Amino acid sequence: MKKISRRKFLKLAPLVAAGTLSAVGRQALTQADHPNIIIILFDAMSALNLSLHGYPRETSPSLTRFAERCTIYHSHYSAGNFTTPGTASMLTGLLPWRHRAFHYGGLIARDLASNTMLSLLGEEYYRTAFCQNPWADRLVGQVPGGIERFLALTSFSLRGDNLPMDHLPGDRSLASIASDEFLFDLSGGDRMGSGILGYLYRTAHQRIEVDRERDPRYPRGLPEIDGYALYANQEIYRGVLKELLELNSSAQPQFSYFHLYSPHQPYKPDRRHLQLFDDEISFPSKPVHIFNSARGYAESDIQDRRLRYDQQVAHVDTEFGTLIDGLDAAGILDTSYVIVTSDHGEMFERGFFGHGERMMYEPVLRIPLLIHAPGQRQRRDIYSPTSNVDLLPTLEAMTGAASSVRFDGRILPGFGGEEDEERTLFSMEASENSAFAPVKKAVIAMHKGGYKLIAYPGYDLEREYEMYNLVEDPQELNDLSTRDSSTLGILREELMDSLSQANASYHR
Amino acid sequence: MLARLRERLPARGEVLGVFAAAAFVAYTWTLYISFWRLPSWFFFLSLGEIVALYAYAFVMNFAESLLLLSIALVPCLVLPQSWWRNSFVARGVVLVVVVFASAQMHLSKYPTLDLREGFVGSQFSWWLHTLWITAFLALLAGRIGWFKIGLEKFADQLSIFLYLYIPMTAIGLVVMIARNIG
Repeated sequence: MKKISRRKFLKLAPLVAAGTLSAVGRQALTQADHPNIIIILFDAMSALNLSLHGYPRETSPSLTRFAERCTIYHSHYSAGNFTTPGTASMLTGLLPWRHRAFHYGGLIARDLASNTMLSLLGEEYYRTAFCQNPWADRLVGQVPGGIERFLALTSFSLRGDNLPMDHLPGDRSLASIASDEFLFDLSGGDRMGSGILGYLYRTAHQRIEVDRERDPRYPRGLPEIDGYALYANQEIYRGVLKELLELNSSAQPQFSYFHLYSPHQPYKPDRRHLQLFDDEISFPSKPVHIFNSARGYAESDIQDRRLRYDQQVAHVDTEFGTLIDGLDAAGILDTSYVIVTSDHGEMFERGFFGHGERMMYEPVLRIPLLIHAPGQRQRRDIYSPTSNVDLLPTLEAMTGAASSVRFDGRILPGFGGEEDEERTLFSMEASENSAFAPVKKAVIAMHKGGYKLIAYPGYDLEREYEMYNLVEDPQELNDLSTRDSSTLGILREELMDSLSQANASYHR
Repeated sequence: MLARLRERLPARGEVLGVFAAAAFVAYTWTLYISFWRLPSWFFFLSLGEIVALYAYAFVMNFAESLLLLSIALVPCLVLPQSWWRNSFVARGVVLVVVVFASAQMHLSKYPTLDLREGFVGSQFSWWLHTLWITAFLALLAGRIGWFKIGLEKFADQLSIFLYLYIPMTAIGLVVMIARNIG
């Protein structure tokens, strides 16, 4: 054996020691150093329909119980009014005019795909994702190199894992656009790109659904992921719990993202929740928005939808309670951050029900955010305004992950950030613009200091702005845009300046 | 066994003619539908990504064309030669076109998800009617001279499209494999 000189040994010793320590450090990175992070996102859950936030119907007893061990954000907003921009903002910490995922089923700007929540935590965490919403699945599918465990969006559903894109994991996002929206058009349209295989695929899929859709637990039928799968929430939550219980069997810290479809429409609660809310509560009637005037939904129809939605929320809440009890019993709440939120809300007013399109009112933008820190036993309430773009900067601060992108969000109060009542928040709907060009036609909501401005740049409307004082008028009934021109001017200038800045890099 | 099976199948040139007709309807339909989608794709997908969508589509179309061809070949195996194989090109083209059109018409009658029960429930009678219509037209295609010759010429003309579609499919397959192993 060749002898090593003392001089050489002294030279090499620090390197060997550093290498050994680094290896030990990597091995020793356990859940104790980095607690698990579990995100549970309920699609289309408005904070304003939760009894946790003062809604008159008792829709969320389990969330209220869980809140006793959480930090609760009472003025939390989504940056988008439907799944794609809302989820993309949460995943990137950026506003839609920067991440550019503002089309129905759109994608995050490709150069930003390596800076999403799932990419940044990939160094140290074992990542699991399950997105029942296909558009959210598509966004998570953009993570370069994929993630360790990415469940099929139809997992735990009646359909099973048999989507074409399940067989193309290396190109999940684009394969899903090719198959689900074009060749097989799962939305149920009559113009499928694939004339024969599409026909056979729909036949096979719909035969299964017709055979199985009658479930005695669901008198109004099973809830459905639009065209993709029928599912029972009991099975979905059981599946999620099973996935999470496996966290305990691994020493490596875990990052889990569960994007669950309910209470998204169609609202089909189970038998237990169909009987709820047989009450006389009346909700304020609001003027029909000009964009909805052609729809002709009667107020009674809209209120009927609200009732069904509330029942669906209550059903989700029941299943969530069972899930949390299961996690608590397994000790996972002692070792994990559990973050409960939504991608956007839902509204039942102004001649409209649902979300998206061009509606930017509070019910569709206000979403829940509860964060349980490992072992937390005390409730903490935060009333200052926050946005879902804040979640990634907060996770970055919690975990020490480092992004190369400057976030639009801030670290959340309660986790190192400051409460700021005067902070400006933006939410927007910009689906009528190209993702590769400046935003010229959009609906943009800006919250600042208790005021809310809704701007309609690019639309030929009689009133280009609406302005509300949310402190005095939380129902957004008194439009101040023609009465308080000085406040309008200040807010409008800030909004237009911000839009110009966002557009600057797209002007050639 | 294999030799007997081969005996019952039409000549290669005839098979190619029917395959050309099948490929023409499958690929052309996809291209037609894609033109409706293109404006929205240009809104959020890059040119390379749109090309990749077409790559997936062409690979799918090739499989679809083979499937349609095999449907046209089945009667050769089960029916007497004079009933089907002797006028394979004309009858095969009729079958391919009618089956394809029937599928699209059936879909157009049930264009939304809430009609799925009607879609599934009507399939038996729909395809029974399609079978009668196909049989009738195929009978005419074999008996009426000008009709038969017209269909054979049509299939022959369509084979020019194979020079376009087959290379596009080969490129599509390469793109698809590259995107999924990259």
